[in-house]
Amino acid sequence: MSNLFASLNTASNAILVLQNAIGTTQNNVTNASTPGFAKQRQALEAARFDLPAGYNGGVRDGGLLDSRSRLAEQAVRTQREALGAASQQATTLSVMEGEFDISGNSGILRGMNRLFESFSDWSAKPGDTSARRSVLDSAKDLADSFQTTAGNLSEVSRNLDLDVAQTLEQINAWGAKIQTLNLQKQNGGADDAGLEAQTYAALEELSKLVNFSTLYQEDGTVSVLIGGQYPLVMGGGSQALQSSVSSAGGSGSFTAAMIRDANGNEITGAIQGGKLGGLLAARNGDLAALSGAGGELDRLAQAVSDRVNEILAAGGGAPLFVYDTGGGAGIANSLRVNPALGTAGLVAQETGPPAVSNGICLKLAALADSTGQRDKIDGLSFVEFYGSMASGVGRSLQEATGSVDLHTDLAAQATALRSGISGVSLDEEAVYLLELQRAYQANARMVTVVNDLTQEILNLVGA
Amino acid sequence: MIQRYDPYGEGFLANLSRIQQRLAKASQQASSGLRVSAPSDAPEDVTDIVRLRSKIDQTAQVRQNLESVKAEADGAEGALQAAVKLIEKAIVNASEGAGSVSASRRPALATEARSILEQLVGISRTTVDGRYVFSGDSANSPSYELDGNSGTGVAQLQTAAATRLVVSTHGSSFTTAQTAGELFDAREANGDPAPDNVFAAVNNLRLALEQNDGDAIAASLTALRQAHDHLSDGLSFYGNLQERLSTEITTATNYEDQCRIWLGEKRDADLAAASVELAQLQTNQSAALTVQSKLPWSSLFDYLK
Repeated sequence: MSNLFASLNTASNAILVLQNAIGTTQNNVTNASTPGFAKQRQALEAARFDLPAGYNGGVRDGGLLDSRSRLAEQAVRTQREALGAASQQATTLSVMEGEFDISGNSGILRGMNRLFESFSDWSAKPGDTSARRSVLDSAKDLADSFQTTAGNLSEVSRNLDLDVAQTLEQINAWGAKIQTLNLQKQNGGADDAGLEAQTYAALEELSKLVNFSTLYQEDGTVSVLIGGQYPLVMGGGSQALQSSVSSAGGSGSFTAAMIRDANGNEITGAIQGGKLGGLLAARNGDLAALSGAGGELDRLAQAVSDRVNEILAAGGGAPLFVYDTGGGAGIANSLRVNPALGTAGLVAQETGPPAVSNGICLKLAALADSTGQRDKIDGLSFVEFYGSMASGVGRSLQEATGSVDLHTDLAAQATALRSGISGVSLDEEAVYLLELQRAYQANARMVTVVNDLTQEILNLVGA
Repeated sequence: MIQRYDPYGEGFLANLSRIQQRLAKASQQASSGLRVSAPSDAPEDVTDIVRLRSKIDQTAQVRQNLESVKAEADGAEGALQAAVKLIEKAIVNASEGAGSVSASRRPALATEARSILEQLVGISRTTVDGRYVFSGDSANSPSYELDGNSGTGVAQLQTAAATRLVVSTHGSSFTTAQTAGELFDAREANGDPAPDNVFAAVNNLRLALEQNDGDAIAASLTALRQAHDHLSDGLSFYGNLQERLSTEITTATNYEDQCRIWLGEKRDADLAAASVELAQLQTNQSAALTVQSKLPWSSLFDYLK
């Protein structure tokens, strides 16, 4: 049988539950801008009401409901990974693009054009010393251009290595952070919304740096697997990544960057996303194609110098260009004018028959736009091949920039979707707070009424 | 004011950034006049652009070469014109000497013949821009000098052939000169002076006049007429060469201009379109910022008592 004291107890319990609900709403409002935070709701459950059986009903605390969607979180991280990789590739390619002046006012293109012009000028005055000196000067300019470009690309490579090392430090730091959070969860913080928010915020920051997948354990901890395979964080332990640079072999100055897990296994191929993925793609892909052993830059330097030397040799002359073939210096990086060659050593005459006093000069000048197969690389003239190199870098940059635009939009969409599911809307919290306020007021009024009734009874008894 | 969280802020920032990038690009195009200044601007056009750039430089150099050779050809042609006139003068003197003249006249005519020979040797040493135009491949040194002890009145200093070729814009090559030996000192296969040897004809006239030999004077007249025809052939060669060089120079100039037009089509910006786009993007940016600023940032909390 119910009595007034039971009603009083029910009302007071309801007030406590509503206080918790208001506290939850207050926590949501406070953390509206906290990275990684997902709004929570206090679940309100009706207690059993059966007066004859002695159940007085009321409301009880059903626990906290978390609105976080792991799917939405993963969608955001996926776009962050893609955006991070594309952004880094675009940044690196933008630097590399600067080495390819297509105006003809500087760089390799200007060097080649000037060299071919000097050959043509020499052909009009084959015995003229100043024309020969111009040939030597132009050859030096071209060799210097190749060396400068090769040196600058090597500098890009070194800077990328530094970036890789710094990025790995950041990745390992975030891994350590997630490990710390996991340990806190294992020590009784499994239901701590604050720890959960920090964990998801850390995961989102990590996704900007590298691609990974997550495994959620029953104890609330999260394991992070780089590339979906190689553990960075496993429960309460973390395994740091490390980088190394290996020789690609041959005579090229380029070396590949590699990433290894804590056990020394190479995991470079599994890293496709995030800033690290972009760094590796630029370092081991775009840059290697240009400046690695057998890369396009070395091919162009070798083809131009060898063909010039071959034509001069046909006239009985000494080579104009020399380069190192061993020691890892690279052809473009070591290309230079033959130091033993002076103006007198430049042979202009083609002995024939028929003899042509400027025959060698004319053949050299024709390299500017030759149709002969021996004067081409992959079916392109030397100038066209340079154009294809520049075009390749430009195309890659254009694609990377497009990818940045695309994934920026997708990341914004994913973020908006996640916010819609688990973000805090102040308007929504304000409305809910009003509801709780009204409910609290009603239960407080109930306490007052029951109290008055009880006092009335006591007065009756006392009278 | 209690601001509400805007889940669409990231998208707005991304779009604003995109507008600003396009603004920068349009501004750069309008200021530089170039649509393609870097490979990523139009990768599909880069190979054509560098090829045209190289072609322009190459054609300009070819044109300079042709102009240089034409200057030499003009100089040579002018020298040969003078040589032909000298031979005509020699023919007049020979005709006079072969006729009835006083005994004192032939020595005077002989002196004129010597002077003509000296001038012909001088013509064989014609230079243009420091190059001996009739010295063949050894353009740094003359081919002949006077030598009174020689049968032809001259001594040959060098025998280089004229094998230098000049290349036109489209790759065809042609010879650019004749040597002094070919023009003034024609020889038989056995090395003897040919009947139309210019030096020999004038020198023989000089000797005949000095020796007062009427028959020899008559014989030199025949040789002088043959030498005149030979020099006329040389003059014709240089006339044709001048004409061809003029044509090739015009072709080179036109081709260079055409290449510049093609390069402009590939590379240059449409300034009017770039200016319009610039204005449009500035309007877009201003509108986006204005609209964003007018979005309500208050929440229900602002109205709760």
